[in-house]
Amino acid sequence: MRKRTTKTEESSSGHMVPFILEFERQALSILKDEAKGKEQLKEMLEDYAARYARQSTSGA
Amino acid sequence: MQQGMQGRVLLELENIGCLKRAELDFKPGLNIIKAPNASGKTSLIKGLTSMFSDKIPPAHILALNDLNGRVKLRYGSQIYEKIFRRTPSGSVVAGGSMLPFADHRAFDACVALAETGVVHKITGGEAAFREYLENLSYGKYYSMVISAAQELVNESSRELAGPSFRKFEALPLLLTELTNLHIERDQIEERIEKLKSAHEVEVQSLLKKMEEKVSAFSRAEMGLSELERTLAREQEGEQQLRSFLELADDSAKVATHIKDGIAGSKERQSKIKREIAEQKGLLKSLKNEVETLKKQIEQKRTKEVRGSKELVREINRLNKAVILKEEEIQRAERFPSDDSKYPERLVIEVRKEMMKKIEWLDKVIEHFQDKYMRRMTSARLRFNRNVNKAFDELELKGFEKVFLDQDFALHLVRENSIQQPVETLSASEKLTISLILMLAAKETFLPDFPLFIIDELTLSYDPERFRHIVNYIRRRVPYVIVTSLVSSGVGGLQIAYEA
Repeated sequence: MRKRTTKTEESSSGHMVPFILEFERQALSILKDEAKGKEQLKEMLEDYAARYARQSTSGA
Repeated sequence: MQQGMQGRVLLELENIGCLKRAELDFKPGLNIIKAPNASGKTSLIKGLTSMFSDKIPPAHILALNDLNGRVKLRYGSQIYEKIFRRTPSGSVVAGGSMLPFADHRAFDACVALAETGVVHKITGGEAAFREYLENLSYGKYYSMVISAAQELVNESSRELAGPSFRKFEALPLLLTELTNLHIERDQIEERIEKLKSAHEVEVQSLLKKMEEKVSAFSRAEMGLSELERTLAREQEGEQQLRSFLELADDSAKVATHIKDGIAGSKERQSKIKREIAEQKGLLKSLKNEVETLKKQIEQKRTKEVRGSKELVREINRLNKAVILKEEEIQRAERFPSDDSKYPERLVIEVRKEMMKKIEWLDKVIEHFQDKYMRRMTSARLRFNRNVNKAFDELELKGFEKVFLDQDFALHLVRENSIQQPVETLSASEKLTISLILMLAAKETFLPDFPLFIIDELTLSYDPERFRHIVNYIRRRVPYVIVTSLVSSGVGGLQIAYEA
């Protein structure tokens, strides 16, 4: 059985994916307002993915 | 302490469902709303529900023939009001304030209407509860992120496999072809240079030859001048001898001697004259040779290098091929200026960016899949614990165990360990299971939500069992609201309280 995950564990796994904690906070906030959640979520995913791509390709 | 509410709560409704106007005063404990059929019990419940959840569409709440309606909830000094308005197009919009503890999940966990999640599922014979727990545990948000990220990955992958990017795959071949054209052109240019070089060697050789002839000519001219001066001196000597001969008439011996001298001079002059003629012949010959060489050099310089014409034509052809190939490469490596997404951008850059985007999205999918699994597993295990706790405390006979398995399918295990399919339950058992699952969901996900509402689901219950379940709920929830059908002799909505 999978043990209950602590906040510390969540944070440390989140740090492996750049911007994930910031993205998750914003995404969940958008999704709780259900009306346009999905579209806004896709836009946000695009924005963060583009940010990651820019950062990776510029070697920063 | 329960959040948000304690003490009396006044609910006012206007143009809600079949209710033109109603006021109800709720108190902590059990509130039983008694009314005959079609007197507005369900309208009241829907109106109340709209103060903490948007799950019921506004069009199902506002009275059919009215343009405006409202639900007002007064608690202590606070008033919360929700307004419903029918637009010219016929749709209904809602606005205003909600209760501070509003949570749309309460519709699924705290309101037992016929159309509510669990009740609907159980009475419909369904046994799949993944979606139900996804909603309550917020696992559905993780699921939505996974699904949106996967859609973007698929879109990007399709785009990368599309014609704009496939064209880019031809780039290495095109670059190789361009390199080959350059190599071929360089080789031909080298051949032309060699031919030109050989030609120049010939010209230089003729020039050298001409210089030698000019030099020989110059020397011959000097020799001729010297011979002419010698001849002149000899002629002058002869003239002097002839003068001496006139003066020496009386001396035969001297005269003879002078005559011999004159004869010798004449002989030498003849020899010099022959030599001068020869020298002049030489000069003429040298002059002709120089002229010939000059003409040859001139011809060499003005005439094209032999064989180079064909090679120059080949060079021109290759230059055109290079230009065409470079244009083809530009088309393959760059998006056109009228491209809607990446005008003028290098395909290799865009491709790299897209690959990086996919890389991030894949990481996001993996991260949220992990979180989804952990959250859902935890939600299922807590839910199962609370379901069994409720069964134990209610001491309901007939079921040994009720639980959701790893696939979120509901298992009902009878005391004899036989599993019973949901659809084979009796009507009252279905309602009992529904209420227990709802209570377990409330205990698991909304433990502090202060309301629990049951709308006419207890019709098929015997009063004793109903009382047993309601008492169990009352011990856990501050406000329990139950609607109950009474005979049509009773007028309007009436409320009875049990603290």
